[in-house]
Amino acid sequence: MMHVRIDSLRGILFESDAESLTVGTKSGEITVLPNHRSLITSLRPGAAKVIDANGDEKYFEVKSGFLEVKNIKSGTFLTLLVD
Amino acid sequence: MASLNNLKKRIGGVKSINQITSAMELVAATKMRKAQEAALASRFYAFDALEILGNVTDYLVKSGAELEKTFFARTVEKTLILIVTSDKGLVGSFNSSIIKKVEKFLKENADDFKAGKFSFVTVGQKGTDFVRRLGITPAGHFSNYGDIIDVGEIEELAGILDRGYRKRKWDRIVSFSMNFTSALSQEVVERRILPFEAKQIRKTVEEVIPNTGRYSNLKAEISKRRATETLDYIMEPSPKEILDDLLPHLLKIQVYHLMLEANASEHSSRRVTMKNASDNAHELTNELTLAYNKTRQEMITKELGELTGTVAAITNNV
Repeated sequence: MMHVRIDSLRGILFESDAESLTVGTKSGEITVLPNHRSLITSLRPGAAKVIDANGDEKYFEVKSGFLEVKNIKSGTFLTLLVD
Repeated sequence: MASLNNLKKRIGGVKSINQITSAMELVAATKMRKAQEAALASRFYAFDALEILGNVTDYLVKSGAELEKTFFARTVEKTLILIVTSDKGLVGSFNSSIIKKVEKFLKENADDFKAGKFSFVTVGQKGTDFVRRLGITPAGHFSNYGDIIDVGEIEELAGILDRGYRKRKWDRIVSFSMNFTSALSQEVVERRILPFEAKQIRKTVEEVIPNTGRYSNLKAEISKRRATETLDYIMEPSPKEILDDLLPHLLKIQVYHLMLEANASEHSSRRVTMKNASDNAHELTNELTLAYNKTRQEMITKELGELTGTVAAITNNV
C-alpha cells in the first residue's frame, strides 16, 4: 500500500492510501505502484487515476503540475501538485 | 467649563468616528476570514511544494550536479530585498514593524548597503514609500493587489525575481513579510528565498504550520513522512527539463504563499486596530456624555438658584 496526496491551491483534493496511480507525464503515461523508486516528473494535462484502498477508481483533472514519489523506510509517499 | 454646544459637537464627531471604525472592523473581519481560508487552503500545496523543493535541493547538492546550479549555492555579491507591506494605512503596527525589521537588517549590513549591494522590490505602497525615502528607486514595485491574491497575479513579481537572479542582478533574495499565525498574532519573518537551501526551506515549512490549533498535529505527520536520507531520485524526462519547470514554479509558489500570509495578516491587523479604535471611541462617547450631562445639570441648578433668588427678592420687596 502507498499513500497518495493530491494538492491543489484550493486545498487537498485527495488524501488516502491507494493501490495505484496512473497519470500522464511529459515522458508518457505512467502507473505508480507501491515501492516504486523515488521519482520526480512534470505532469501533462489530462486525468490522474487513483485506485484507492477499496479498489475504487477515482479521477482528478490535471492541467499541469508535478508528481513526486518518495520511497522511504516508513513507506511509499506520492505527492501530486496540480493546478 | 466647556460649553454645552461644544460638547454636543464633540459627541457627534466621536460617534461618527465610531460608526466608521465599526464598519471598517466588520469589513476587515470578513476579508480576514476569506484571506485566512485562502491561506489555509493553499498551505498544504505550499507545504508539499516546499518539501519537494527541499528534497530536490538536498539531492542535487549531494549528487554534485552542475545543472541549474545558479538556483542553489552561489557566492553572494548583491542582495535583493523583498518587502511585503500593505497599500493602505490604519493597520496598527503592521507596516511599521516590517519596516523596523528591514531597517535593523540594513543597519547590521550597513557596509554592504553603502556599497550599493542591495536592491529592493516592494509590494504595497507603504514599502515603496519607505524605499523611496532611503533615496533608492525600487527595482520593481507592486500595489493594488486584490484582497485575495490569485496565483496568476504573482506571475510578474516572481518573473522579476527569477530573471534578475538568472542575470546576476542579485545573488540572494531575502524577504520581509508578515507571517499569519492566528487572528491575534502575526509576526515579521525574514526569509531567504533564493538561493534554495534545504535547511532554510524546511524551516519555512515548519513556520507555515502553526504550533497550536487544528493543523498543529501535522508536524508529527511530517516527521513521519520526511525523508531522513537523501532520496535517490529519477528525474523524468531529464533533470534539466524538470528543474527548468519545477524551480520557477516553486519560486512562484513560495512568493504566492508569502503574499497570502501577508494578506491574512494585514486584514487581521486592521480588524484588531479598528476594534481598538471603536472601543476607544465608545469610551470617549461615554465620558463626553457624562461631562455633557453634568454641565447641563449644573446650568439647570444655577438657573433654579437664580430663579428662587429673584422670587425671594421680589416677595421681600412687596
